[in-house]
Amino acid sequence: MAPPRSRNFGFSRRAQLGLFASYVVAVGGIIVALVMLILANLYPASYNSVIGFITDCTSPWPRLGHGVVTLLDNTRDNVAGYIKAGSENIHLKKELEHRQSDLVQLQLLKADNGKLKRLLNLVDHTPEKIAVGHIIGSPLATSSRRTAIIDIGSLSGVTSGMPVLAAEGLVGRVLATGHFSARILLLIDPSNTLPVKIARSGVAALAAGRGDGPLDVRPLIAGQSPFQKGDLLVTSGTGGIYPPDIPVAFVTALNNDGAVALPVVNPASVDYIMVEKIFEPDAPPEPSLADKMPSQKLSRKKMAKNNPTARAVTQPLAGRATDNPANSNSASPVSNKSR
Amino acid sequence: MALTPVTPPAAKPIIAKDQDLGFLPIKAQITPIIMVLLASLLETEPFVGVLSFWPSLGFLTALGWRLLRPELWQAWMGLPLGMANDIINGQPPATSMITWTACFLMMDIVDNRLVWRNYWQDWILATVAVFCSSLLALCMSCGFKGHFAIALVADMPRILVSILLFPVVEFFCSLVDRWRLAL
Repeated sequence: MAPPRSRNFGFSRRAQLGLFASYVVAVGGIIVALVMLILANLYPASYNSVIGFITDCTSPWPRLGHGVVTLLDNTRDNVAGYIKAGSENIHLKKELEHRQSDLVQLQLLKADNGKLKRLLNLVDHTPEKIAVGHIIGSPLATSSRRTAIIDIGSLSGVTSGMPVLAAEGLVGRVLATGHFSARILLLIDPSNTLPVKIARSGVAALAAGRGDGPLDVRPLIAGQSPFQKGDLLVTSGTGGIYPPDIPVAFVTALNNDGAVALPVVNPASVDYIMVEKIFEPDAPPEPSLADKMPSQKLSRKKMAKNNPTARAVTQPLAGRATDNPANSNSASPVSNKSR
Repeated sequence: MALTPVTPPAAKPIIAKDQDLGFLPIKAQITPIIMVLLASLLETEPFVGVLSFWPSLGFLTALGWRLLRPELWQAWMGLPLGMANDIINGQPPATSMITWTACFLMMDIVDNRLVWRNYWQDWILATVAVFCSSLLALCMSCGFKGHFAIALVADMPRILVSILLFPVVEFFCSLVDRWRLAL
């Protein structure tokens, strides 16, 4: 092939300067872009509004595509269902007979459970649902950030930061909202970290996306690994955003500093998603005024000298802090609440 | 080679001399830009994939135009095109801006060194560009923390598909190029 037209414009001084200027602009632009990268990490809110607007503009294309994909899926399911109808009917009838006895037992258990809960005065945290929608698409060519687009936006009450759930468990959280579409950050994104606990033992841990599918789970306490293969991880609700006790992942393998867990929800096969209100854990009650005034002035050492119960707090190893309910620090919030 | 780009002389280009470059009709000027934007839009698909395997079509198209028509764009053109790609696909901002412009600058350096250009050279250049830009984008998002190696391995299918698809994309670019320059 012939040599490409070179951009060397001979002896024209003006053309050469123009070429030089273009390089200056290019390199300057790279530097400006680096600054933008840092700023967007510091103040993501301003960038997210732009993303939300553009998501609105581009969402018709994935929306259309999603319709076509769903249509094809349904057609396939319908045809398969038609062919298998007879054998499935027999199978289901048999299963129904088996389930009948289970159902009776379940209702008994349910009633029992409700009674016990009332006895314990437990209040179920019922998460508040904001809107229900579909995942309509995701940018597949970006390895650096795993996001998806959903077909509900701020008109349905969705705001950024809200947790996104599927029937099986947690999907992610809302990153940026447009008016009728929003972009969500999936659990598998490498920048996503969430506090979890092991459903079996209640031990807290941190789960972070790896970027290739599974999550990386690390215990918060040093020492022996609290994980076992097959453990279910649920959200702990610590720090807010995610409501507690939503299934997140199953532990599939153990490694040196924690475990690898596979998300409960496969984002590729999610049908409906629910956006829920941002979870706000009950704020710890403020210490009463009488407690607050001297304790702020006094240093920790002085306080320990003056107050024998405070010493127990500063020395938790002695084991008195947890055993002693008459401890002034723990007693004051209770009295606060009762007032 | 079935997919070698259509050679421009066969189409009787309206540019005969370098001096004509400034007088391109508006259609000829904006067609490549629109094509890159559409390709960026096609990176968002109506389904979700756990592993990224979809080629970065926007970047491939930009590379295709840059290698097919070195005189078409200055190096700074990577900035607006990259920014559009970032915003359309919801990436961390400025990722494509930086990688695309860096690649365009690299192409300019190579253009000054190489006298002749052929099909294989274009492909090799595109391979290097795709690989380097993916690496750079990963560095910017993960910053070497955590599982850089895992992220790189997870990204490999996408890089491979992108590299294999480049000749096809360049072929399409050359088809559009013929239409673009026809009067």
